[in-house]
Amino acid sequence: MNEFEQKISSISKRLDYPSTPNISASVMKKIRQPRFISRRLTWSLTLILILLVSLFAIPPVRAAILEFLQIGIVRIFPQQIEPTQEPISTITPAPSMIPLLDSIFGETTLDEAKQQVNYPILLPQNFGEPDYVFVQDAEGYMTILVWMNPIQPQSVELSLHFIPNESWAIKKMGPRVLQETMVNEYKAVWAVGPYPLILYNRYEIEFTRLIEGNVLIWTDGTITYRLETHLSMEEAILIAENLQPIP
Amino acid sequence: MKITSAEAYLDEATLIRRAAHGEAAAWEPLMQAHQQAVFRLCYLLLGDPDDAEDVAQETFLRAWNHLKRFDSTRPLRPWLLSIASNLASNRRRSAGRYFSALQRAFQNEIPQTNLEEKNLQSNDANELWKAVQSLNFQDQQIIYLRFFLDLSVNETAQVLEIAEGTVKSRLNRAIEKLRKIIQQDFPILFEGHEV
Repeated sequence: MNEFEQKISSISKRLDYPSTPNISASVMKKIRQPRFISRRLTWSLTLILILLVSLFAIPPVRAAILEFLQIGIVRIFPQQIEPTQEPISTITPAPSMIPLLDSIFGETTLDEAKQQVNYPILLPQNFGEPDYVFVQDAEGYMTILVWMNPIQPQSVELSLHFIPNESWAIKKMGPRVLQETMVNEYKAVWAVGPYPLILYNRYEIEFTRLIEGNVLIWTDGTITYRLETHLSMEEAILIAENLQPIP
Repeated sequence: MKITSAEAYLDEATLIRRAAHGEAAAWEPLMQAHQQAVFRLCYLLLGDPDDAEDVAQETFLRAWNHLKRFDSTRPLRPWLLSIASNLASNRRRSAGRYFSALQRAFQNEIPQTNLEEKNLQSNDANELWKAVQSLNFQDQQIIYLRFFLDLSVNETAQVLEIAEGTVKSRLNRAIEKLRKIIQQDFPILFEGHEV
């Protein structure tokens, strides 16, 4: 520890904290509270159940309720599905990673990430090594690679998630443009923001992010890949189909 | 089975195993042992004692609900602090926090702080805290864990789920940023010392 760090360390110990409340007592009370469902709640739940059963009896309603796309561990509730097979060229200003970079846990290096995960980490061609690497333990290690835009260093050029099955659960609510496509032989989906993305981790902590970039999602059965970029769908597919394991 | 006073001195791993099997009484001494560190980290990250208490409670409830998945041979504190940190990060972004802060502001119950009554040393610490608050969340977090809560590099690495080498490099970067902030905005903090 140098002189500055020693000084910081000694000053920080003198901070006046509020006295610690009796947290254990409050938590014990909640833990020991018998869980019961009130009669009113029971009635409400019964009514909701009856309503849902009735709604499911009507074919168009059933179709609407069940209309979502599942790619690996990602479930997408589309706003509208574009039936066209024509590729859609969409350029949006920038992916939305930047505001989160400060709050993403598990920053590491590519070498350390290779040791941590039991699946091959793939890199896109011509992008070099990522500027940021994150590995998050969520009953399966999720890897996030981030490449910053060399011209605008404050914005993200590309981010690539590797999400093992049974790791995180992800819901996308109502992307603006959604198109089914293929990455090599795998089924894929192309989604365009803005839309809220909801992630749940092992502590059931919910993160909601507003996605403004374009996202290509595909799965090989064991890993769900999520490529977020400002590039067009054709360019994203080209990148995805040419991912290579780290040499 | 009730925890007797003698059993209260059982080692942490045994208490964790018992608590994981649903024995609430085994969870209580563990909470008592770690509630101060958890509350203080929440307070540092959120800056509000009510918010800190809420998040600390939530931390222990979440941990209790997920104890079966926790490896009882590992120390509990880094895991609790990791949950607390995640929850505090979420809380900072949530709209509810701003509403509750607004509500308090309108309740005319603004805590009266008499700076004159506080000693100079404590003021130094408050100034340092203000300086750290100018950093981004990730930098604040590592400085609070390492310096304010006095965690070792190894414990900090466990809380942040990163390698010890990454803790060191990230800490160095955060300290450099803090040094600049202090030089620029809080020079009095290190008056007479070379910053």
